[in-house]
Amino acid sequence: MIRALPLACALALIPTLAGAITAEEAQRAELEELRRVIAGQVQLSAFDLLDELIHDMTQAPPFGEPTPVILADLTVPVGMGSGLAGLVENHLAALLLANPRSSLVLSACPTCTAMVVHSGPEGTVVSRGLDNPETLEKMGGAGGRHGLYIDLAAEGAWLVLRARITRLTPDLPIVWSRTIASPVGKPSLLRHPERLKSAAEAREEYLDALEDRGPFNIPIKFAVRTYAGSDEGGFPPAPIIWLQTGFEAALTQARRWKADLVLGYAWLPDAYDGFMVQSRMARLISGQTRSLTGPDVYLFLGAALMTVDGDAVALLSDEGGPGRGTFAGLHLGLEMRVGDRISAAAFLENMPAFNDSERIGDFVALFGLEFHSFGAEVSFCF
Amino acid sequence: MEFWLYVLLFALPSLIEEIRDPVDGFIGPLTGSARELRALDCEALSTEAARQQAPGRIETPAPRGDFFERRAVICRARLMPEGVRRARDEAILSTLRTAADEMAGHIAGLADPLRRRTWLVEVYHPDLHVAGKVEFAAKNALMAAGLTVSDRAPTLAAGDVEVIGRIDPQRAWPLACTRYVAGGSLGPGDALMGIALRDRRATILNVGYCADGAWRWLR
Repeated sequence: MIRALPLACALALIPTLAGAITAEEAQRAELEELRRVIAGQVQLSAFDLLDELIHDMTQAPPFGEPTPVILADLTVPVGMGSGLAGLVENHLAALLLANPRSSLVLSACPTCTAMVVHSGPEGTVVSRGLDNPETLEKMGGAGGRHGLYIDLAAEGAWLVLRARITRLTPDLPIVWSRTIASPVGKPSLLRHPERLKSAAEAREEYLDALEDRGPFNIPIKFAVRTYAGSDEGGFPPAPIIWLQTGFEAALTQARRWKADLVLGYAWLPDAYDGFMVQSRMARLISGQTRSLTGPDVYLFLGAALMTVDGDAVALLSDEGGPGRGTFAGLHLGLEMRVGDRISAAAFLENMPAFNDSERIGDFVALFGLEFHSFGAEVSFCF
Repeated sequence: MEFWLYVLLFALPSLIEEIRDPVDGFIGPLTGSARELRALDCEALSTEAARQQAPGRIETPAPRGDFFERRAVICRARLMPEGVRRARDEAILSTLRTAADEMAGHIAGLADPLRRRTWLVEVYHPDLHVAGKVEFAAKNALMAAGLTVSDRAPTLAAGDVEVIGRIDPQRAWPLACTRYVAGGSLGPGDALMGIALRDRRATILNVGYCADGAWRWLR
């Protein structure tokens, strides 16, 4: 019993001790994970800024002729690890190799970044080779060459790239400098290292890609229109399923406005048959240009002229009994389209011929208009 | 039924707009934490400037104008979430671009013979990484202001370092300035821009300059 008590106490303490260590480790691991996530997010933006920097150099080279440059220093935002620095350095080297018009030729200089000790009459100086060009010159280092310094900084919601070039002479004059900033959330331009473009040109290409399908589409639509029963509680006409096709035109380059004209046919054995012609005007409401990656939402207003015949839709006929019914409809709805290929839409339709009708009721009345019909459709564009 | 649809149709756009407007402070409570709101950097811009920064997100005004008075506030989450860097460092680094431009502006505003000198930059901050960032930003800002800048660092003798390292920055800079000139590392054609955190608890950097052995604080 006496021996069992300390053993039980020790056993009870083990989880507490283990927990204390684990919590600390977990906190550290969480911070590391957070840094890794941020570094992943920052990497593309950093590459984008480097692309912009080298593109600027190709447009206005810092030197008149190819000049050997040592990558003197490359620092990443405070709080980031050296892994990101390695990735950025590799990308910079690839860019400089692929763009000789930048006038910078990367040059290796191990003694430049090494610590050098120089003793002279004025004293003993311990410094990096780059910071002491006179000593470097004596060691046969980078005399007369240039050092490129790159710094990436996270400043609030901005990633800032600073670059400067210093001539490695005793006076160490800075001969060129540039600061470029990019806000968080700006889409990465993913430029090809061998065909660098300015941000404006890259954006132009993005807009071109948005418009890649040309101004015309041929849609094939499957639509169903349901009708409200009369206010007295009568049966509504059967829903009519339409197969429609025609053409659709983008009225603006970014497909912000579009219009279509389609012909439709409906047929259900022993129930109904019908023809229709329909036109619509639509306005993009989910942005200013069609999205390459997400769905687009259009608000549309349209008109249709339909003629139907059959027992199942007798209530829509001109006489309210057997026979053909011809009527017009004005509709208002929303369409969601993905990649300008496939879309789904829902709409409400007013049929003026059935205003104050005893045969057909309305689903809803807005702005003095009774919407007698509710429709839904799926379209495929070619 | 119709009445409520009217209410919804008319009020919904304004309600959505209000909810999404971080200036009204609704984002925090809706997303479950006011901390999220604090992690945003919000900037009020003209609609034209906002349209350039967020193309496709800001409505283009009609060529002849419209009947709305538009304002644009762009809010972005900070790159470094709270807690990743020390609060003091974060305060300095998050506004470094503006601070560096402002400090360079003080130097660029000096009288002409002084302005035309070669400027060296030295920064005192307890964290060497932060000091490096500030120095880089200040040098680039000076270059952008059209000044002649050098990467050279003025040096002190070991005895000077021993003495100057023991006194507070307020007195250390004027003393170091005298010694730089006496030691010859700051010549008659040179001037030194000194940036210092004069108090370890401060989040605002002070700037001064040293020329001809005389030190002067500018901010």
